[in-house]
Amino acid sequence: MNDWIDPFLNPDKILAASRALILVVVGLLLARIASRVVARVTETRLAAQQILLLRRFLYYALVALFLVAALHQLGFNLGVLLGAAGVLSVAIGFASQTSASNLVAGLFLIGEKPFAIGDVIQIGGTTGEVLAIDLLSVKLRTFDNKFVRIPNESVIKSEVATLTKYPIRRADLQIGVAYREDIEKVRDVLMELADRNLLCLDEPKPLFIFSDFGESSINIQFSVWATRENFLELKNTMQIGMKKAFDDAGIEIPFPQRTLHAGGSVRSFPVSVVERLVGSDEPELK
Amino acid sequence: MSEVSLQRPWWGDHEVALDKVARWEIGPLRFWLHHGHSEWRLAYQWVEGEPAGWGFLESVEWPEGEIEAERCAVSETAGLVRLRPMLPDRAVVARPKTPLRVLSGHRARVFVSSPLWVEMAVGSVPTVLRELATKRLSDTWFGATTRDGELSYSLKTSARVSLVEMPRAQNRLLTPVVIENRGKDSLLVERLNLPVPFLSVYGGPLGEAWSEEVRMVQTEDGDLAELDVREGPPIEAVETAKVSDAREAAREGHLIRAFGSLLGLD
Repeated sequence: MNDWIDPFLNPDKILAASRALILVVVGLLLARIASRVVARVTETRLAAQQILLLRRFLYYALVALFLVAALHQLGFNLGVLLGAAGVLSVAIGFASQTSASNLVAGLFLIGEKPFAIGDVIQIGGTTGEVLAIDLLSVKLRTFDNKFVRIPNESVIKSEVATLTKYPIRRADLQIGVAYREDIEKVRDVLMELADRNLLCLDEPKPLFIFSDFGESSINIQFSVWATRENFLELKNTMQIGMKKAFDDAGIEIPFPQRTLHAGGSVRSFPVSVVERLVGSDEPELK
Repeated sequence: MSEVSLQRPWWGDHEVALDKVARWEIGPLRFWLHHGHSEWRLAYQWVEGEPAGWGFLESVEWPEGEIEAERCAVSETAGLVRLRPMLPDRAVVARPKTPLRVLSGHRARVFVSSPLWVEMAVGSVPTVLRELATKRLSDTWFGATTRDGELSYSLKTSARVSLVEMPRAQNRLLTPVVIENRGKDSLLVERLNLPVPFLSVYGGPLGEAWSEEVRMVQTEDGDLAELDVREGPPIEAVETAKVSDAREAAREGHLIRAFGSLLGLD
C-alpha cells in the first residue's frame, strides 16, 4: 500500500500539484474577470451577440492556457499531448463537418449582422422574430408561436428578408376594376381614401400603378406607406376602405368572367325560352 | 349644468363632483371624464371639420354608442382635473398650400399653426391621466431616403407671412418661423420640418397660445439648416405666461433637415 502511495507523497510532487491547482484556480478567476471587463468595455460598441461571443472566446482561451500550464507543472509532456490532440482533431473534424460549417456560417452571420435579436425576418417560408443568433443556429419565434431553429448554414445560403430593418414599409395592394370604369375616377377615390386614413403616411406619397389589362379586369397596384408597427393595420383598413369606397362610388370589382363568341362563320349558340319558373314572371333559360 | 365662457383659456383647473360626468370640447376633440369612487373613466372622440372654440359642461350623461373609452384606478376621491396644453410629441412637417420661395440672401418670417395636445391630470396632487391630440394628424416621413429620416406629423398649413391673415382657433398654437437663406440659390420651401418637441407653450388671457420664435438658417452647403429656438415668447405674444415646458431640450446650433424632401421617390 505504502509503495503505491509513496511516489505521491514525494514533497516535489506535492509542490508541483499545489502549483498546478493554484494555476487552475487563478486561471478560472482571471478568465471570469477578464471576460466581464471586456464585456463592459465593449458594451456600447458591439452588438449583444458579438459581446457574448468575445466573452466566451476570451474565457475559454484563458482557461485553456492556464490548464496547459498546470499540466506542464504536473510533468506532462505537452508535445505528446498536442500530437494526440492533432490526431483527435482530424477524427473529430470528419465527424463534425456539418457542425463546423454551421459554426463558420455563424461567425459570418455575427460579423455581417444582416439582422439582430428582436428583428422580424423571413427565411424561405418561415417568418418570425429572431430570439437568438448562436454559433450553430438562428432561433425564431413564428407568429403562430412556434419555436423554429434554422441552421446557420441554411441562413447563409438562402435569401433572408429583414422586415423590421427600416422604420417604414410599403404595402402593395392589388385590385381589379371593371373595364367600363373611369380610371381617373378610380385613382381619385383611392387617393382620397389614403388621405383620410391616418395610418397612411402622407409622404412617401401613395403610388397608383396601372398594372395591366387582365382577363376580366383592369389590374391596379395601389402602394401605400406606413410605419412598420402599423403595417398590418394599414393593409387591413385600406382593403376594407377600398371595398366600401368602391361600393359608394359605384365602381365595380368584377368577378372572373369569360365571353364566348362563336365567330362570323359559325351560327350563334341557340338560347331560347322554354318555360316559366313556378311563381315567377322571369322566364327560365335553357 | 353650466357652460364656461369661451373668453378664457381651456387649460387650468376644473372640478368634477363625485359620480358626475364632465364634458369638454376643444377644437375637434370631445372628451368625457367620469369621477368614480376609486376610478376615473375617460371617453373621447374627434368630430369632422375644424371647430375653433372650446366648451365645458360640468354635469352631463355618459356618452352612448361606439366611442373610445378607458378606465384608470386611483386611490383618492379628489375631483380636481388639471388640463395643460402640450405640443405634439413628434416634429410636425408643415406643407404650405402654396410653396414659398425665399430668395438668396433674404429672410422670411412665417407663422405656422399647429394643433395642441391636452394633458389631463387628476387628483389632489395632479397625476397625468392621459394625453390626447385636439386634432388627429396623419403620420408622415421626413428624410432624404426611406432609410434615413424621422417619423413626423403631417400638417397642411397656410404658412402666412402676415399675422392678421392667420386663422385662429382655441386648440391651435402659433409659431413664428424665420427662414434665412444664406445660400447662393433661392430656397423653395415646400415642406417645413418644425421640431415642436423643442418648444414650450405660452398662453394668453383669452386662450391664445404661442411658442418661442424659431430661426432656421440655410447655409451655403448641404441641405441642413441651423436651428435656433429664441428664448421667451415672440413679440406678438402680449401678456402671455409659460404654461408648459418643452418636451425635449433644444441644443444651440442644432442642425436639422428642415426643408428637404424625399428625393426620387415620389
